[in-house]
Amino acid sequence: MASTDGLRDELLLLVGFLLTSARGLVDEPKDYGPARLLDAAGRLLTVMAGQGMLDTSLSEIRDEIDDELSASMDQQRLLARLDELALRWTELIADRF
Amino acid sequence: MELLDAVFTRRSVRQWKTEPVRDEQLRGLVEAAARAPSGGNSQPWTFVIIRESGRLRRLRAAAPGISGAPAALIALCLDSLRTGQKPCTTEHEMHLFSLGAALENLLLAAHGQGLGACAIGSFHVPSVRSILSLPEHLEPKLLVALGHPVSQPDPPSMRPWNEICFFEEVGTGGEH
Repeated sequence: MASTDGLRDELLLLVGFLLTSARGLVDEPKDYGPARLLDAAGRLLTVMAGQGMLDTSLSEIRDEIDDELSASMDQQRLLARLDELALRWTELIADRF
Repeated sequence: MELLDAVFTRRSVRQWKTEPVRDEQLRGLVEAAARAPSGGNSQPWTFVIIRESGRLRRLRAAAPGISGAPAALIALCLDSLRTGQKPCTTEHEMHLFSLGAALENLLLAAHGQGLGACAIGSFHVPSVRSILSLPEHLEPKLLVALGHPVSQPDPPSMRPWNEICFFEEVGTGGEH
């Protein structure tokens, strides 16, 4: 499990990613927006993994995000994957709240 | 690897092993990039190779186009000491085309060495400038993220031949 300092560093880097993404998306193709948010979700899950917070289901979601981001861009596939991941997340948290 | 094999099998790789890339390999990639044609032999480029993990992590945050964790990055900068300060001119466009040619050389050289690379155009220029301590005359235009690939991505979908190529006149037979 990462130290508090380590966690702070990881979150600081994530903040930077979100800030520079926000700035970049002003000028970039609109299709990049969903990919940036998906990437942010994956990076956040990686931070959680470093804190020992990922169970198998969340790990699977993170792996799928990595797969999507490493493949050639395909908007149809991305849309289907986002729908599927969002639904899985909804089902995952149903018993938690 | 034969040249055309390299052209047709190169992919944009975005997942890498943690294994570092040797300095000689990185130097070789830049040497290949610098062999690209440039308008008037202007060689309008400067390359910055980044290997340190702390700097790579900061660049991953400042360059949202980087997904995955590359073992190294190479920044392709346009050098205004060689190009002059004339944005939005045909001459400036030519310098950008030259940088694009250098990029392709670099990507093919990486592929030829069994490395995987991806060109990145999405990054926050002032932040990248700061992280790399770039002087005013160097403008970062592209980053190349690279390393030893985890796998070879599937080929991307391609536009149909008859949509992208014509013989003699647009609208006439794009036979393949």
